[in-house]
Amino acid sequence: MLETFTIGISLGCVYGLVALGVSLIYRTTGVLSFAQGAFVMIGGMVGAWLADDLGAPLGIALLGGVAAGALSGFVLAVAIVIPLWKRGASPFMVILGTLVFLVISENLVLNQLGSQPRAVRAITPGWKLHVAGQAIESQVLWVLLATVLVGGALYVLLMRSRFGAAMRACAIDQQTSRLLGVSPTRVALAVFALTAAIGALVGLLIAPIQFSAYTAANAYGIKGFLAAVIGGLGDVRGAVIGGLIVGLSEAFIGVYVSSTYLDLILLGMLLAVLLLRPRGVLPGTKVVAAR
Amino acid sequence: MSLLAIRNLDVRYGAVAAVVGASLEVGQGEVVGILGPNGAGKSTMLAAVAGLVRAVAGSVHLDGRDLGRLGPDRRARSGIVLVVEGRGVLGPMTVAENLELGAYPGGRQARSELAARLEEAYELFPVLRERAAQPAGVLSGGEAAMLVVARGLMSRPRILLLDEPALGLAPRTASDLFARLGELKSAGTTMVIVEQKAADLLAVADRVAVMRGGRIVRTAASSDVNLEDLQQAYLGPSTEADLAINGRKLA
Repeated sequence: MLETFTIGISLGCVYGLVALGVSLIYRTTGVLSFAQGAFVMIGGMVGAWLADDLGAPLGIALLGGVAAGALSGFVLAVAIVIPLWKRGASPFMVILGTLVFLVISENLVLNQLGSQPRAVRAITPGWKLHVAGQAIESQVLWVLLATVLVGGALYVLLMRSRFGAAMRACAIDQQTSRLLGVSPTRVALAVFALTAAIGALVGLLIAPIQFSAYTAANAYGIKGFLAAVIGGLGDVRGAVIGGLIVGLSEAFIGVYVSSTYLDLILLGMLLAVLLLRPRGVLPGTKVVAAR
Repeated sequence: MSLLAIRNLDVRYGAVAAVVGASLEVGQGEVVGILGPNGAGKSTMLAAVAGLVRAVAGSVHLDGRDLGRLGPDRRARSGIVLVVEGRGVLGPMTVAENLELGAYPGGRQARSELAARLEEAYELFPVLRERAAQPAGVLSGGEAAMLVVARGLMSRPRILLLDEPALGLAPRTASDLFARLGELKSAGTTMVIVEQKAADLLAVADRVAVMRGGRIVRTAASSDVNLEDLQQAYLGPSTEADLAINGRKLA
């Protein structure tokens, strides 16, 4: 039971941080990005490649993976999202653009790094926390710690910094923001790069527990999106809670109900939320987007 | 050389010409009022100067520099700040956060500088100090109008464009707001003010420009404008507003 719970929590943190990216992008730019899973995959695969193929120390592999993720997010914004905006493309076309980016990323990783699943070394290999007679993998604690630190850092950025205020202003009213000197394009670039870096970090931290592979992007993306919808699309705090709901559901359904029908049940949850609680399951959540 | 120069500006909304060949110069420290009936193109002209709408012809120069196709964010960072009709208050953010964001176009400032500017805003509009920690969305219409003017001043703009700042305000609140604008004028702030309340505007403006059908049909020193003629033009039975300056009807 404890083991299932810890796996659920670690998966929940991963989905929560992916969902946080989906919600932050949606809230500040109005774009629904289906590419967020790609950054989790890119982080894990690039980190494993740096450590295993190039023999880089773990710290360099982690930094490299996060940098690769941030760069990918920047490329998504510069090459696809912003040009589509400037051409007045519909939201549907922008969504399609993010899906195209996801497929391109998968193919590039497949061609350059191969189809074999890869694992990143654990930060503290072999060390376990013993609770009630059961051992918890230290990597789970690293995932938890990263989630708390990333969540705290994002809160400080949004609520205490000048640029965070600009991001919030963009989320509320883009025209007024522009009249106050805030460039929505710069905000979009920063948000895409930042959320991609967070996704990549998540991919690096979960890779020792769950192997990373070019196919992982879809699974993380869909479950991250599910978590964002459950938490209320655009609600940053709700995204993390949604992630924990999805992660724990996945772990417990997989062990106690059916691992065969796991994805079917989770997607059924998504449909149920969309039909019954389109604003999310949390009380008082609102769907908010910049555009 | 004038601080702001609008030259032969044309703005169209599809087939409709909203501003036609408008030219206006505003000197450093000068306050220019823009009067005219609804639909005359006053707000559109300000929006074009701020970069919110794109002119199809003509140019806008700040300190002799053609602003070309710069968007509103870059124009704001150049020193042109537009306070828009309809308020533009960022409701979920607090009054203090709204004000601090007003300093954004001026670039990063030291905390002490930001605090000094906040203090100036609170001195100009004391009610904002009482409301500082409250969400801006709960302010009354008059308080919101004061907030957006104060926010516009936070970046120390080269020129402040005010689009009907007293729209929807009670007469006394509007008079208070214009009294504060008078203080800003005394402090040397350059302003262009679009306003329907001619009496308030004439008390503050050095010059007025009268717009009709998208054109600036006349500019005159405020002291030369006959208020009674203006009132008659706005309230008279004629469906076509007949604006007059010193008794002379405008074409």
